Amino acid sequence: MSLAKNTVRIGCGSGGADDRREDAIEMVKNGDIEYLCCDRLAERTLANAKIRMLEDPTVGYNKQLEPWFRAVIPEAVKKDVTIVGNFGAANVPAAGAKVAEIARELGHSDLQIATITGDDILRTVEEGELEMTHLLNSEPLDLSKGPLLANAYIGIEPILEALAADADIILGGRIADLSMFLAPMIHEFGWEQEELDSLANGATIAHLLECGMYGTGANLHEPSHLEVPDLDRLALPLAEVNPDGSAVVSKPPETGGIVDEMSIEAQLCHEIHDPKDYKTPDLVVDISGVELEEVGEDQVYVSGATGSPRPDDLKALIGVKNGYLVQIEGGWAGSNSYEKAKVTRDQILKPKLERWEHRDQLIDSRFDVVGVDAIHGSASPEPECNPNEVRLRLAAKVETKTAAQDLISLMKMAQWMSCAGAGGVQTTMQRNITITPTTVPRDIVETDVTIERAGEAVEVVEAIGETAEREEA
Amino acid sequence: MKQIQVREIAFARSGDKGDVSNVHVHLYDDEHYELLKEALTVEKIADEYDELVEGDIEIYELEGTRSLNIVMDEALDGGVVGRTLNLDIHGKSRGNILMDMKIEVSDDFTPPKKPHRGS
Repeated sequence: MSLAKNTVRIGCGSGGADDRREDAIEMVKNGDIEYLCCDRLAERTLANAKIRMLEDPTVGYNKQLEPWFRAVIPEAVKKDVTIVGNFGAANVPAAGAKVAEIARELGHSDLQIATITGDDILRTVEEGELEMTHLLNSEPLDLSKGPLLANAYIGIEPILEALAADADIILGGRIADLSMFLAPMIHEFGWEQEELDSLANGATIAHLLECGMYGTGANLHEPSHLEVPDLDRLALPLAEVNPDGSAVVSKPPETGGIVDEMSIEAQLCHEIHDPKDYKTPDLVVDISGVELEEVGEDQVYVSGATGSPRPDDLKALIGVKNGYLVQIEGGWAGSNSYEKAKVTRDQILKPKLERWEHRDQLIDSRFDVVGVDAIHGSASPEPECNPNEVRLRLAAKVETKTAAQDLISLMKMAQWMSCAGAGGVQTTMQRNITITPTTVPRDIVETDVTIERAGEAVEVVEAIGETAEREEA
Repeated sequence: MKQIQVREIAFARSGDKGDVSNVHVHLYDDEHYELLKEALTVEKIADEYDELVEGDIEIYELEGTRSLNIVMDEALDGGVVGRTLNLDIHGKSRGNILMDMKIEVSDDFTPPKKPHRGS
């Protein structure tokens, strides 16, 4: 195997739907990177995007897409950085058109923009031929309320097609987080499917990068235990990857946060279950033997993963409408607050909920005393001190909008008219979607790559299929 | 013997995938790996998480980093996918229950020095 390069530098441009453009710009300007890979989706983000799209068919892509690309494109052009990201969310074609429009307005009509579609399998699911079961408990999926969205997690293949065709910006929908970071490594080093340990090391690095600042000190600071410096200037992580997939993970110079054994170790098993059986669309990774070594300030060398062939099926998310979510919350301050919250909960709101005329439309409900037991529920000890202030929260799922509005009206007034000093009553209502993870056969998911020069919004300028076949051969 | 919180010897981060919560535990000093493995049994963890966890609990070892990954099924009241009514829909805080757990150590046990960084 002849290697074109010694290393490739990959920067994380975001690890979530709301990551800020300033941090991506910091990475492009000072990270000395060739690829900026951006995860913009989580399990629920896609459903929220789909709801937006149903209300307005011209949107449904990442909410920050416009300001993000407007700010990042000029810097990426200057540094010749390729951008890969699942900004398309529920509406990849609209995302592609919008980014092309932005590029044209910025005077970069020559940029090649690739859009990857095919993750949306709603039509296939609606046909009802697929037998799908819950990923965890194997129960058959209940689609009686009608599926609202169905998306498969797609892997590296379409990204490799787009990279082979020299795309500058690659946009997709439900591309697996990790695959967006792994594909550029494969493109640069030409790893074949049987080079499983290189792929596994690369996938481990991709995993460490794809949660953004979780790799560089976010969600880590434990006061007086595990201290992270300059939390107000956290940076996104980057990696210099070797031809065997091992890499040095670091961050742009002179930024806040930290990259050391603890910060990387804390991220290594994040949202992974059996460390010997981490399934991705592209391979199965064993991270149990991964070793970390600090090789410089904010530099950790990561190696030692092993791999096995990819799973037969792809993970998919199926979403169905499931009523409305409501929250009603009000509070008290002063030394008797906690007692007032308990009286209001047990003697006012609970009996009223029992007597509520639309009770048959209640799917689920819970009461929380915020400041005491809202997060850890029954695992919370009784507080050791008398809280200065508490808030009482009622959250519920209700079948219909009318009943949801009525519950808000009932409980809002009940809170205002409760114990002395009740105040600050706030309410929210939103549509609820229940999402079920499942698996689907690979052959029902057909991805498609379209490449357009920003200046020629609709014309397809590359014969993608042929390019891809050459790449795989 | 005396009791200390797990927080004194380890950091725990929690994450979610569907209705599964995982809490992975990292020692400040790898010498406490055996102590940690002995202290964190499935029974004790189930007791500590109480009604939060309805499904099975499994503890995995990562020999390369000498850390533990605790995986709890049906632990997030549906999580972000089933849309739990818990304010912390991802269970980001679940690692804190683990760090607040008390474990038994010898009377002369001194907690490890914490990596204190920065200005």
